Amino acid sequence: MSTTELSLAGSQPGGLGRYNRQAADLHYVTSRVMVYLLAFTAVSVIGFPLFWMVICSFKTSTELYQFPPAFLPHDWTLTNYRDLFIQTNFPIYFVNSLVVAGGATLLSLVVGGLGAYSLSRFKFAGMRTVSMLTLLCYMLPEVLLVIPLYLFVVDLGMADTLISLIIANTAFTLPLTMWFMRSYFNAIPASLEESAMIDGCSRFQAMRKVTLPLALPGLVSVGVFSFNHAWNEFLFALVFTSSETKKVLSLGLATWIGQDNIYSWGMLLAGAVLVTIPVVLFYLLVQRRLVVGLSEGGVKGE
Amino acid sequence: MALVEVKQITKKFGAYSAISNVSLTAQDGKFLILLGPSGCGKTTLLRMIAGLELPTYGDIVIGGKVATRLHPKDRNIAMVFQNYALYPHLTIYENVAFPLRVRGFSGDIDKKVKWATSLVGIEHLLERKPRQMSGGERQRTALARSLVRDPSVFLLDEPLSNLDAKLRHSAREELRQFQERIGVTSIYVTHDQVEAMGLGDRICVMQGGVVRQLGTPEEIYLNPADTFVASFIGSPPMNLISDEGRTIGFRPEMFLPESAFDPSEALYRTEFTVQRIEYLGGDRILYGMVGASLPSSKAIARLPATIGTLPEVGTTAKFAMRLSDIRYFDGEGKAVEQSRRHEARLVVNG
Ligand SMILES: Nc1ncnc2c1ncn2[C@@H]1O[C@H](COP(=O)(O)OP(=O)(O)O)[C@@H](O)[C@H]1O
Ligand SMILES: [Mg+2]
Repeated sequence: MSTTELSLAGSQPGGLGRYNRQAADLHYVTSRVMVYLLAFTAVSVIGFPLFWMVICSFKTSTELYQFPPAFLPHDWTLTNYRDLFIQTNFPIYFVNSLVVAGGATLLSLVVGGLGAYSLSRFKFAGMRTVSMLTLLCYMLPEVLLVIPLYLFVVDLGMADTLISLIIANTAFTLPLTMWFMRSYFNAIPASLEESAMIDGCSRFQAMRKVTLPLALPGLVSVGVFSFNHAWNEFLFALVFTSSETKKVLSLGLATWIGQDNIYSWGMLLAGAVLVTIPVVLFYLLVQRRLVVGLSEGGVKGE
Repeated sequence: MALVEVKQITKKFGAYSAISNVSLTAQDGKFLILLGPSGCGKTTLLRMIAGLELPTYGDIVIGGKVATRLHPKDRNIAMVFQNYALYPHLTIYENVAFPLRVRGFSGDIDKKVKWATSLVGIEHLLERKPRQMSGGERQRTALARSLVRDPSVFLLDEPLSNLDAKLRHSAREELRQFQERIGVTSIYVTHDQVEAMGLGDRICVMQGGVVRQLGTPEEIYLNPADTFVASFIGSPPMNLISDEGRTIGFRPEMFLPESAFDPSEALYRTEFTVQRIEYLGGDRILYGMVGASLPSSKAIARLPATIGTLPEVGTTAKFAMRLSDIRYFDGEGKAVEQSRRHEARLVVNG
């Protein structure tokens, strides 16, 4: 009885009830402070190196070696970027990386997506074995695969080609794509496709018009993963390609770091910034889809 | 509109027969109900008619054409799934327009969608996504989507089972009126006998993958083909009393105190010991034991409110039923023709 009187005391008759989030609410304030502190720590730990990389790429080389370092560059300069494009093969590396990462992503989405779809929707002999084997493949480390794969690549006359890198990268990301997408497809009720078929779709149309849009968030996450992996991949690139025109960014930039000296810190940093940009752009592009898809719970039948 | 014939269909999942040699006909423009307990194969049968499963043996004939191996899209059927299977990524408008769009409908899609949605009363919700709809609204959307393209057969798999009791009742009425208006052959699956009795032109009672009885609601209620149908239909179900290798059945609502009958009627008289009384709206359900001429066994009586004086719990009262209301089943549980001889014998015993 007393509690109801208490809560009613603070409210005007006919108006709103007691306001539950008064600033004096100590618990509320402390929890806010904690959240911001945590967020600040996380952002600075992850963000500062990125920030420093960007800032330094605009510094002149004298300023780069200056001690103590200045926080912001005294003279902002684009020389590092200009040199990158004029003095080095950076543009070639960049295009090669885009081709390899884009190709591997596309291939692993198409092959992995279709494979996962059939594993999820059809029953066939040896299905369990196939799915277990793909998972087993994922367990094998890259170092173990690279030499046998290289022998194949040479035998097929694909040594020093971008195709070999696309295939190798796809082979590496495919098992994960399949497993992830299979559980994604499993969560989409088969009755949706059946309904689409009764409504007049062929099996393929039903998949394209109903299942695929619903699986889009899953495909996006898998795509981001594949792209990222291929973009950063180093070992296959090192073993499979050798000529300057076939180098990808990870390999190309690494060769600038010589045995005992760095060719140019400024250019390396400018290169690093440009390497990061596509990944960030890609994330920004798909991030909305990813978040919307996950929060919409689009796969729920009802 | 079309006649749907199921001809000697058997469906096996591995060694298990979900449907065993079922034959039945859904008449043109009529409402056929598939009624049976959960797991008896109703959905499987419906899915074979829809073309989502291939029968192991037998044929499906739709509109005089053998459709056994036809793709679902080529059968011109519509189906309402138990979970409605609305496309979550499309708006209600696009959900309803979907069958028209994929079939390359050449006419005015907008007009068709408006027509179908106003028929089920959801024309104000067209911009919503399915997840923003209540259960009843989803069910209507599924209906609208299935009838937007004038199907020749309408299949419904327990479409009301996800609704609450009150809504289910009104939705049932609407569905019935609606079917009468559009006059399309409909096959409706349910495990709810009240729903089946209320909706169907004809009911097909199934159990364990076989058809137990096919008939009008009245036939099924009055003359159950076997003891399974007798005990599945009616609430409470028919009283079944085994007696010398055969079974006697009588409906609880036909089993009343002797005083409720006109003395000139041909009655079978017995005694009923009341053990428990349940008040169910107007009616009273009496649980107890019959005795006297019949082997002592459990029975239920359902007394309408018009019968004023109830026997007290624990007492034995004189009860009776009309001879014409008694049904007989043989040792295997199959109904046997009512014969004068049986009645005569009972009368002598009584
Ligand atoms: N795809 C399937 N594989 C194996 N068994 C199945 C399959 N579909 C249904 N069954 C079995 O067939 C029987 C009938 O199922 P169903 O038609 O769904 O019953 P109902 O709809 O009458 O409840 C059940 O015992 C079920 O387990
Ligand atoms: Mg079912």
